[in-house]
Amino acid sequence: MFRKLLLSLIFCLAIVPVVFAQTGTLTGVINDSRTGEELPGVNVFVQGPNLGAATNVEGEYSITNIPYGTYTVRVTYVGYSPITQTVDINALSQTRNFTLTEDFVGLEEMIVTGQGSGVERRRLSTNVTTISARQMDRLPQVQLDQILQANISNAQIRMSSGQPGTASLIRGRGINSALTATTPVIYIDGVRVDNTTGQALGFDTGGAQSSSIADIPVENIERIEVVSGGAATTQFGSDAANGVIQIFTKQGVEGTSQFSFESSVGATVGTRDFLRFQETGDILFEPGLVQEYRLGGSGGTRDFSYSFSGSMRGDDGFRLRNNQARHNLRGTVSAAVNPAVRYTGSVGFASSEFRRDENANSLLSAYAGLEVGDFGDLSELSTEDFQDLKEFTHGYTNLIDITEDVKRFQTSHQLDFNISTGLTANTVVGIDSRSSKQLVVETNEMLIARGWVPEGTVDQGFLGRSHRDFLGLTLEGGMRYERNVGNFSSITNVGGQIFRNDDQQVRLEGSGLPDGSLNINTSEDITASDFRRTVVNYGIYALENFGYMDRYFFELGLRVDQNTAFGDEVGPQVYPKAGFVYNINDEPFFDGLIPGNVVSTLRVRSNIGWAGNFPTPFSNEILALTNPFLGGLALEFGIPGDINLKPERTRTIEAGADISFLADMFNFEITYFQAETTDALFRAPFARSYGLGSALQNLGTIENKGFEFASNMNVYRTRDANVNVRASFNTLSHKVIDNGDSAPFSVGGFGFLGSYVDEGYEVGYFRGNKPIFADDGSLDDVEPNAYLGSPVPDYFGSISLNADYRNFSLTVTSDYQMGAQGVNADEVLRYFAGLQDGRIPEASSGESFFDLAGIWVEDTDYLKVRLVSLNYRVPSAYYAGIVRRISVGFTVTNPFNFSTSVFDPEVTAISIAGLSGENPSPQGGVGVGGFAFGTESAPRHFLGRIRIDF
Amino acid sequence: MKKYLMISVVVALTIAGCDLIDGTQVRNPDLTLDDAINQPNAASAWVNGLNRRIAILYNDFLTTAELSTDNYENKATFFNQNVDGGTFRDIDNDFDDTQYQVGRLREEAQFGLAEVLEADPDAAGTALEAEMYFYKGWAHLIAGEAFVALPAEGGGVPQSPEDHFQDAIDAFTAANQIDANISYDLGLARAHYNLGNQTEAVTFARAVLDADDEYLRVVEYDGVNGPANTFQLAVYERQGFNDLQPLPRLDFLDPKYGDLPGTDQSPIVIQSAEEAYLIIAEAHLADDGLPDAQQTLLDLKALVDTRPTRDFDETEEGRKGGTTEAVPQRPDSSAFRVRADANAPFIEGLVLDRTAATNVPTVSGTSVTDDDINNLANNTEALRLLYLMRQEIFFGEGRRMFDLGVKWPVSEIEALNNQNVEDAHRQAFIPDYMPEPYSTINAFTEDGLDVTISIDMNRVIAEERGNRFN
Repeated sequence: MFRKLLLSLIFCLAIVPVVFAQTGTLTGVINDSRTGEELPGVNVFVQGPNLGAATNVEGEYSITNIPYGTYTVRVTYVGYSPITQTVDINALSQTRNFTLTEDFVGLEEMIVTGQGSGVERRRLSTNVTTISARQMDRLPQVQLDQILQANISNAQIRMSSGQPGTASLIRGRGINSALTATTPVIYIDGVRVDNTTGQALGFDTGGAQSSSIADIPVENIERIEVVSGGAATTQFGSDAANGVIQIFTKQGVEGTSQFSFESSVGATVGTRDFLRFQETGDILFEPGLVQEYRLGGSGGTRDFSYSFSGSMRGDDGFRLRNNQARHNLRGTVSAAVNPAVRYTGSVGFASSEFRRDENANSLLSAYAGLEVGDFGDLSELSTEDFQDLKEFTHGYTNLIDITEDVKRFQTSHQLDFNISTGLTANTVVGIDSRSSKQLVVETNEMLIARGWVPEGTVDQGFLGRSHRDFLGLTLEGGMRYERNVGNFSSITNVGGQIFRNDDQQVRLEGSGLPDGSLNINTSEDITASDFRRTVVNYGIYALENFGYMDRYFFELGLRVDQNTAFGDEVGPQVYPKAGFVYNINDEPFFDGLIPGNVVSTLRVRSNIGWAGNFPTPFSNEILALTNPFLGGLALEFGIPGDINLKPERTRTIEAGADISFLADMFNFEITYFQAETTDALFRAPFARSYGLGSALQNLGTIENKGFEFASNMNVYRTRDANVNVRASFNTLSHKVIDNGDSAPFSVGGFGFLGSYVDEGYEVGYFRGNKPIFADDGSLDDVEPNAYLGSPVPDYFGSISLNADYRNFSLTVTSDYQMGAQGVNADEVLRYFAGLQDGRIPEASSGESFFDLAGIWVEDTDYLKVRLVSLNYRVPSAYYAGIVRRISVGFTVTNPFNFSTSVFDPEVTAISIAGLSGENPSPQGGVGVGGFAFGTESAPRHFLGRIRIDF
Repeated sequence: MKKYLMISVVVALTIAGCDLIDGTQVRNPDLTLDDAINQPNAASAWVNGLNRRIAILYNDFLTTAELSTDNYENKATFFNQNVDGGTFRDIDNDFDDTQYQVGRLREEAQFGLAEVLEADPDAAGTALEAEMYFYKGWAHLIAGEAFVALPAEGGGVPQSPEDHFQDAIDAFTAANQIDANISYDLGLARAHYNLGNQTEAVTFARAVLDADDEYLRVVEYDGVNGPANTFQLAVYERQGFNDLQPLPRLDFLDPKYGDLPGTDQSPIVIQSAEEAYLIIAEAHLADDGLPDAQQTLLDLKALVDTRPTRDFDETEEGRKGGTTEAVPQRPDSSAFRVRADANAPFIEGLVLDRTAATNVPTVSGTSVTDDDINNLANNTEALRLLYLMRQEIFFGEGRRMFDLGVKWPVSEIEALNNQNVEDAHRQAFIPDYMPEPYSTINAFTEDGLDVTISIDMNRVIAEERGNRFN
């Protein structure tokens, strides 16, 4: 009944009656106050009749059919302070021009995520990060994680591998869960999209895990909103304890159609900073050509607008067997069905095809083999031996054939209803369909070249295919009622949402193949396995934002949720939230106390909110384990199941203040958060004597708390020049405060040194034996199962610079972390190979590496400069005709790395998504990273770019 | 009024139409345990599950068990590196894994007997029920042989090896009563041997030889669907990466497991007629019947000589580990001679040429000759030779730990979840006669091509542990 009511609500919203309005006209031009530039896409809205329009490419707007009268007009644009003015519409046509000033505080910006509909930031008690199209335009746009890395101040985006198709470990406010990855849920135009890392039946190719984040369509983005969890995500219920990333695509603006063409050409080069042997780079790395072409366009009328963008990217890779091609397309149309109803539809398609080498824990991994000492100390090789090794490595590596082909189709359809004054509604329906196909071919020729089978072998070939089809469906509907009575203002949102994720996978393996066949039927032996995981989450929400005197704001909210992954005995889950904001600088007395140009913004905010993570689908049932074995069906105990399985719930308490000085030139935000996850889902083992596999149970309590400092300083500003520096510093205290009397359990890593979960420690802390050496260097004692460190940093943040001078603009982004550790697993293998780097005293050089484990844990403080980009806008004197603008630029990615560890602290061969330990599936599991093992760093790109706007 | 009527109709139709697009139903593709055991022939599939489970048990148990003894030394692998040195901690993941698999095999067998047979009553009283008892008994047998103590039921009080052997006897007896089988007789012979029950052990051993004097029972692996044989991976497939090295006097037995044609995996012998001969020979020695023992060992030798051998190419693995002054290069050719300790004679042929494919036994092998047996002078020498033959014949089968008398502790995870576990259960047992340091059992020195094993553990246990039946 719950779901029927919910569906009804959504459909009722779709058929609400509409009301028609009358006519009138307001026109004008909108410019940037500093540069004088015309601004396209600015929203102009006439309150009362609720009519609006956006400026065209010339910055012009026109609103017709306005009834005569006096109205408040509100002009808003992302990244600029809004303007509110009164106009009298008393003539057929009236002109009103506006000049907008860049807004570094963003309090007037409309925030949608977590609110049900757009609400001004100044009314919100939660911390929301937005990334505008203008910010994104300054940088190359390839993958969503790279866009986030350059723009988010309070989250870590760690590049786990240089291999194509992989994505970063995204971590905001610590680790809320010992079950699921820290990746936030991601929405595009209101539709939830696949954000899974890892693939249950995928070929992990020695540790490089394919990620759905790597191919999320990033074309044509207007704005991205990022919330870190807590009260800001209560609206999303059982799905959002890790936060939400919401992407809004461009809808096009009224006016003459405009197009842009962009071309980038350059090189990708292997990063050698962390190589143990430079010879590894000499053998494997080869600069590759990178080229990208993008064509976009937009335009429209008052009632109809469109926007599209398409791109092609080819990347030959920085090393052998490492190339990729991407094709992206995105189109959005928006049409006024009638004065009260607007339809917006968006369709995106992404294609990604790439080739990857074997990695880390694969005997075929050329990089790992060279780096860990399989071929001895490469620096001591004679020229002849080096050449022989190079030929040998190229010989078999060039025959390694691992490819992946991803096709992704995502669409969103939204209807907005303007029902009556203050009352609006909308419905969204959309899908995300992602199909990925992995193909792994090991030919006899390759095996011969590797020396594993004798010359002449023709029947030892291997063919593997893994297909994954993901279909996500989102259906959402909401109503908004806004009213102002005297000093009181209220925004009420109610709505419901359903999403359904269906993940189907098939894996085929054929062995004993002759070369030349890509047909599994040619195999001597074929095995097949399949996997299916379906989950449906549905819920309703009610959110109230209440204002008094336009400076005190109160937020209340409630989400009620049901999910098919809950146990049979578990009913709907309730997630409440409450918040308070006080914009002190709006007090009449404030200007008297402190002049407005000294302290221009001062506000305090606090909130409390709950959000959840639903359990792994189908973990609630008592299942049989079924396998083919020796020609027959084998039945055994499967998942023990739990009829009381429910979501883990994270309660976040947040308090903070925003302060700006000197007319918003220096802006600072400080936020304290304390997030406590109760009923944390642990896959802890039972007593071994029960003979049961580990089961998902609501056992633990996890705490994350810390301060988030962010600053945005406009340190220099004239008509010709502008220098902006953004810096952040985040502290994080994170640990499991109660393990529910369970035994410690592993979530990744190796047997000798694993990532564990236990009371009193961080999720995924490093546990292993810690050696204690005597004065003579001999092993005196061993502390078994010692705490060896944590991959979660105590401090992290970012520093970036945006500088404009006349037609030049420079962007530099960087980030850092302190207080984390990592495991140098490469060095363990070099110890086996007799190539240890001196960290082990001579007298202990024969000891068990189990007992020496702690010696391979290193501090991983780092500062990485991610990107340096210089753009130049060619003066208009050099072109004419249909060309409106030409700009050229040059970008370098990953140019500088500084680290306390000898290995790259970001790369990890395992434990992105829980490859080992008690987690039965390497898909979407908790991943903390921190195991450097035979994995290349993200490469450097040197890219030249030209963009022409028509 | 019309407006309200209209709204009512629309709402009613909307609710009614929900089922057309209802996306809230999900279907789990996996069978629930209840559904699974109510399928036709569930007992047969359940026993096949037990076949699979014992394969996994041996995967978790065998490598660590062999490394815990003088059979193998771990030179450079991700397999257990503590047990070589006698560091048997309760936190050891490999001990924990083995306990889990022992518990799982027993509980799955018990569930089969209690629940699956109820759902599939036609299988009751057949060989399927007998096999369920067999696997239950086998779980008790491994529990008793490898651990100081283990619970016999979920969360139970850890019980002694003797109690586990008695439980094994009860289970094998029940199996035999349902479907008399050589395997169950041999299981009974082994369990009684472990308890020192000479009469019963010999009775069942003779019954085995009377029925089939070449009897074999193996744990099979599935090279196509898995699990694959982990010990095969350890001693053969990963070549130099997983570098498990045998004691030089056992070199001729390695690798017992390797690639079979196609994707087949080598099976692991868990029961063989050889064991019956060994039990009977030891019983003769217990009765001071050296000549009878000699004859039994000669018969045994004759059987071993008929067992198959196979060529394996292990040239890439080689014999690494020559990192100390005493061992510049591990013996890797037939030019080396090896003696069991400083007082023993050098023996040729124990080390194979590792520069080419090697021919090794796949069921059982021994370096003992007929002359060695015929020339035995006394019971102590005979017992030492018998222990040597047990070591060589059961090489790579996880049997040596029991002969050495070392036992692993109850794991930390069991202890943290089971309040019946006491601190004493979390301590390993290493007999006083084991050398200090423990790793001496793997030590040897080289003098040119002459290799001297530091300590002859077969002599130690013959003298210190003595005859199982005395």
